Amino acid sequence: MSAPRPTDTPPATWRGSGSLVVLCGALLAATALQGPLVGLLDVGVVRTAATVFVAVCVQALPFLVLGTLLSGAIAAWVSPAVLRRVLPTRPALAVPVAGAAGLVLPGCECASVPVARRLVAQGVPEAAALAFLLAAPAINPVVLVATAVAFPDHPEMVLARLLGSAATAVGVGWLWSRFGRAEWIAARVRRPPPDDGTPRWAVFAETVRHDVVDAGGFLVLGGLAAAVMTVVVPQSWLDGLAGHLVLAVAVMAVLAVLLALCSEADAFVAASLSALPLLPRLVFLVVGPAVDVKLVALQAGAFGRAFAARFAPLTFVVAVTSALVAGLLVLGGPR
Amino acid sequence: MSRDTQHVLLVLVGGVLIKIVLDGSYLRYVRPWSATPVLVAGVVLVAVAVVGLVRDLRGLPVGDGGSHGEHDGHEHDGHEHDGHGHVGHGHGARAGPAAWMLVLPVLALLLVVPPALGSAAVGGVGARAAPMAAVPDDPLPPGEAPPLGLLEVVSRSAADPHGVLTTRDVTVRGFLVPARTPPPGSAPVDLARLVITCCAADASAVRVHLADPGGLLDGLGPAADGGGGGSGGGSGDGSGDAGDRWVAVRGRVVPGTGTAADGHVPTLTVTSLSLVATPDPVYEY
Repeated sequence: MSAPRPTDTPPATWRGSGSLVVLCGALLAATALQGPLVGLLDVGVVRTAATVFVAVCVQALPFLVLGTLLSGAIAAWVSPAVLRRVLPTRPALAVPVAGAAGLVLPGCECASVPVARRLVAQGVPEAAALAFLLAAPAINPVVLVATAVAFPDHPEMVLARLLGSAATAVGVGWLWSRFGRAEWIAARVRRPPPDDGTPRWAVFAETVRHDVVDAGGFLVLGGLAAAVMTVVVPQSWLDGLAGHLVLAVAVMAVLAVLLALCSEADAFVAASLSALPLLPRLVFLVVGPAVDVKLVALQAGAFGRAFAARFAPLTFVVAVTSALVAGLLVLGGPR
Repeated sequence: MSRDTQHVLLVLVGGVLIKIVLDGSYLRYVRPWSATPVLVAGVVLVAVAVVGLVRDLRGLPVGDGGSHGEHDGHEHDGHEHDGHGHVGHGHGARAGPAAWMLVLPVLALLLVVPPALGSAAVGGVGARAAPMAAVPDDPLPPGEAPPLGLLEVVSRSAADPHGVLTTRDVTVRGFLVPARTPPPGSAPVDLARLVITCCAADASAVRVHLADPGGLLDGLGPAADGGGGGSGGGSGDGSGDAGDRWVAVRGRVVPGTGTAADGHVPTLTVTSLSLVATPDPVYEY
C-alpha cells in the first residue's frame, strides 16, 4: 500500500490510490455497521424503499449494460461517415428518421441514453439523437404489445400511445433543432473516440467501461429518487380524481415523472387505475418513458446538467400536449 | 474516482449481480425471466473491468494518458483535458463523483439484501389493485381444492361472479393484512398477494376478503407491522418474508362478489387453513 508514488511517467504499479482507499474504507465501515443497517429495515417504509431501490437497480442495470454495449460498438466500429450517409442531412428529415429507428430497438430508457450520447459523439445532429432518445423506450414492439395486453378492452390505447410518443419524440427533436444551442450539451460529449492505433475491441471495452461507470452512478441516483417517491407519495393523490379531468391529467403526468416505472410495466399500472378516464392514463403512458426522475439523472450524467435542466421541462410540456392531442384524436375525448 | 477504483467497483457491481442470480435472491426484485439478462450484465461488467485492469497493468494506452499520477486522487473533472498533446481523448480515465453512487446497490446487496416486498408495501401507492389478468377459459385443474393464484381468483371472479369458483373449493396462498372495508360478517384480515410486472417497483396488491364461519382465523392476526405502519416489532429477520404471516386457505368464493361494486375484492369462505412457508417466488406475475 505504501509503494512510493512515481512522479514522472507512471509505471503500472499503483495509481490514483486516494479513491481506492476511500472505497475500501467505505466497504469496511459498512461491514462494521451491518447490524444497525439491517436494523433500519425493521421500519416498514424503509424496508419497502430499500427493496424498491434495489429492484430498480437490478432491473435497469442489464438494460444500461446493453445500451453501453451498443454505445461501445458504435464508438468502435461505426464511423461518423457511415452515420452521415445513413441519416438525411436536413434536420427536419433526420429527426423523424431517427425517431423511427427507435421503433426497432426494444430497450428501456436506460439503454437509449448511452446510445444517444454516443450518436452525438459520432457527429449525428443533436436533434436527431434526441428524437431517438425519446422514441426508443416509448415506441418499440415490446412496449406496444405490453400496452395491448394491459388494455384488452381498449386496443385504441396502443395507437394513441404510439401517436403520442412519436409526436413527443419528433416534436422535441424539431424544437431542439430550431431553438437548441450547442453549448447546452457538455463539450466532452462531442469528443470522438481515439484513433491512435488502439485496437477496435479495446476501444469497445474502454467505451463500455467508461459509460457504465458514468451512467451507472446516475442510474443509482435516479433509482434512489424513485424509491423514495414510491413510499412518500400518498395514495390519497389518486383518490377522488375520477371527477376532475384536468386535475387527473396533471396528477398522472407528475406521477409518471416521480415513479419512474420502466416502459414495459407502466401500461399495467395505468390499466390498474381503472377509476380514472382513459385520457389521464394515456398522459401517464406518454410522459413516463420520455421524462422521469431516473431518466433526468441519466441525461444529466450523459449530456450535462445544463442540458437536463432545459430538456426535461421541454419534454414534459411537449409530452403532455402530444398525449392530449393524440387522446382527443384517437380516443375521441376523455373517455 | 481513479481507474483502479472504477475497475474494483465494476467487479463488485458485476459480482453482486451474479451472486443474486446464483443464490436466487434476485426473485425478490425482478421476474424470473430477468435471470439471464442480470447474469449476462454481471459477467459483462466483470469482463470489462478485467480487460481494463490487464491493459493498465501492461501499460497500454487508454486514450487519456495524462491523468495518471498527476492528480493525487482529487476529483476535479480530470477528464476534461482539451486534447492538446495527446491523441484521442474520448475516454476520460476518471469518473465524476456521481460514480460513487454505484457503491450503494453493492452495499445493499452484499450486506443487507433487502427482503421481498410484503404486507408493508400494501399501503402506499402500491395499494392500487393489480390489473385483471386475461381470464383463462380452461377449467380449473383437476383434483380436490386445486391450488390457484390469488390473481387468478380475482380475475375469474371479475369475469364471472357466479362462475366455477363459487361451486368448487380451491386453495389459495397469500399473506394476511388488515382488512380494508370488509363486508359484514367477514374476518378482520384479508388474504393478499403482490403482483409484479417488471420489477418490485411496480408491485401492486391483489386481495380477497375472508369469511370465516368456523372461527379458523381466530388468534391469527396480520404480520406484526403489517399495513404499512412503522411500528415494527419482532419482524426483523430480514430473510425475505419480512415477517409476514403466510397461509394457505382452502375455500369457495361467495357468489356475486368480486365485481366492480366491491372493488374487485371477492369474499372467500374459509373451510380450512394452514400456516405455510413463504412461497418461492414470493410474487405472482
